Amino acid sequence: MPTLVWIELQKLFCRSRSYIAFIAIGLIVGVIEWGLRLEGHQVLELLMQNLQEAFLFQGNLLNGYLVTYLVLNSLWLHVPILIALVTGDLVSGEAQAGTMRLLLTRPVGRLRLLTAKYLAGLLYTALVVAFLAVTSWGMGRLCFGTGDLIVFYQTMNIVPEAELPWRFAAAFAYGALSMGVVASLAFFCSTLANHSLGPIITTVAILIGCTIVSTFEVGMFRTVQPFLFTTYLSKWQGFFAFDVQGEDMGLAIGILVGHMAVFFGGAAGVFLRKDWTT
Amino acid sequence: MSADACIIETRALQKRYGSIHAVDDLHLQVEAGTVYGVLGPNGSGKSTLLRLLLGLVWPDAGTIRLFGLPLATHRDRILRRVGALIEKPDFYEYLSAYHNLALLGRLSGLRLERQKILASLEQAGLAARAHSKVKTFSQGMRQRLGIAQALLHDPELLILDEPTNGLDPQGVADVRALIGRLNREQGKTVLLSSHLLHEIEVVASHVLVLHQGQTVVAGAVHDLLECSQARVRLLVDEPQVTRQLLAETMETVHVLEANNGHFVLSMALDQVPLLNRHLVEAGVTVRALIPMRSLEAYFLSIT
Repeated sequence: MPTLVWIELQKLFCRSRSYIAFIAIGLIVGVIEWGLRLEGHQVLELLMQNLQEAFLFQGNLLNGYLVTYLVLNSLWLHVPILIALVTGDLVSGEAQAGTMRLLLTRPVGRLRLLTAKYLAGLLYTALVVAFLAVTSWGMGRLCFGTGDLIVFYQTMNIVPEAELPWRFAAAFAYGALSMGVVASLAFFCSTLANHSLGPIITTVAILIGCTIVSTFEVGMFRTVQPFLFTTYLSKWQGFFAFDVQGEDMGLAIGILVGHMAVFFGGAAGVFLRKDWTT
Repeated sequence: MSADACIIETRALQKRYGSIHAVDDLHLQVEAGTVYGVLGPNGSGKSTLLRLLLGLVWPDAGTIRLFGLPLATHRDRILRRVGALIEKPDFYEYLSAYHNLALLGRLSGLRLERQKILASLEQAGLAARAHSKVKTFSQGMRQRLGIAQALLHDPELLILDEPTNGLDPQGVADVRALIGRLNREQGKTVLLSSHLLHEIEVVASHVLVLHQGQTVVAGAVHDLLECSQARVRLLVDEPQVTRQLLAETMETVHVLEANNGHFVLSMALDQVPLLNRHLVEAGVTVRALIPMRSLEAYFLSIT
């Protein structure tokens, strides 16, 4: 299996499409941090205006950690699209190019081949999130320095600087998991099609549709919200609560892992029975 | 034919796409060491049959055994011994020919040495372009690379779907010679489909003719031609006597064309010497008696 995954990663990184996510993230993080460098202090003062009447704030509030937190918030909608661009193409792209036929005439079981592709997709997703972490955290600290983090999650939380490394590590790990669900969905869609564009568009459409259902607090929507993975995509913010709710976070992680298992199971069900006529 | 000697054996094989019977109740036995041609008009089920044998599509009914093992349960073990080229050869366009072969070799469980890969490319006539990306290759070069990848792991059985497609005349001759060499010198069994009747006649020892997914005929090419009705060209100086003689003594011979002394006859090949004797005994000057022993004529007569 490691050889198969390595082959899949080699193929993946030989394609220019795979670098779009890294270039886009690099550019977006750069632009956001440049904007914050120019006008960040004014914006922060405006936001804190009411609070400053009651509290005294000392130290560097617009620091690298806050920048990383803001980057995370702003990118969380774009990263799934960038990931779907690659993972939605893993199977369908090969079907369209005709190379799947070549792979399937080799003595590699269909399930092993599919699993290798899936793992390569998950590794790619983890690398994209890691790149996001490194650029936002590294550039943020470099340009804005360090300090405590003020975040508004349920209420105002001031997280001491000493706790931030593990909280960010947990948030990014959770982020990688939630992006893994998006990758799994795109991968599942990829097994259904023989053209690469269809699965990518379908994934984004499902993502938008489910996000709408997850966001609106309407009666019928409320019933299905706990079962939708999009409800848990932004749960990483829970790691910046004053008291991290371990049970809630554990449940969210369990639901995301469950979604991944269902999507991969579906992909395997389709792939193993599929007739390759292209 | 004993079951042991069979490299490929299918029984009551069926594959349907919707209401279309792509392969219908197919019984096939391919003996080790033969070159078996699959022939048929477009849509006759040739490609579907080859895909079924490689596990690319699943049968609706029937069984497939290769090397005596059921394909359904021993796919990986079987494919280690099979080299295949199905339809047009598609490769990773963004990789070089060398890199494509190295990658496919590793998928076959082989860690091929550089020299082995280069030798395969040399055999395919692609040594000079080994490190060029496949996207710069012509159709003929891709076809050659397709054959190189099929031979990469030294398989016992080659399954080739129209292997000379897109090749120039020299390339066609090279591939036909290569198939013959692999069969004669290395004892490889070859199953190939082609829409070129002449190709099957030149390359194959056995043939399966498919029509609408069903077997029309199967067997040794030589036997089929011997038993079949062939067209025979006859050139004589005495057309009247010849016409009379054919009508009176050779009832199984049908005159298809008659133009002065030039006749085109339909008759069994084993009757040709007898016809010649009758004509000579009747004092007819026979200038030419040419049996047109062609698979094409046979194919057209049965489909």
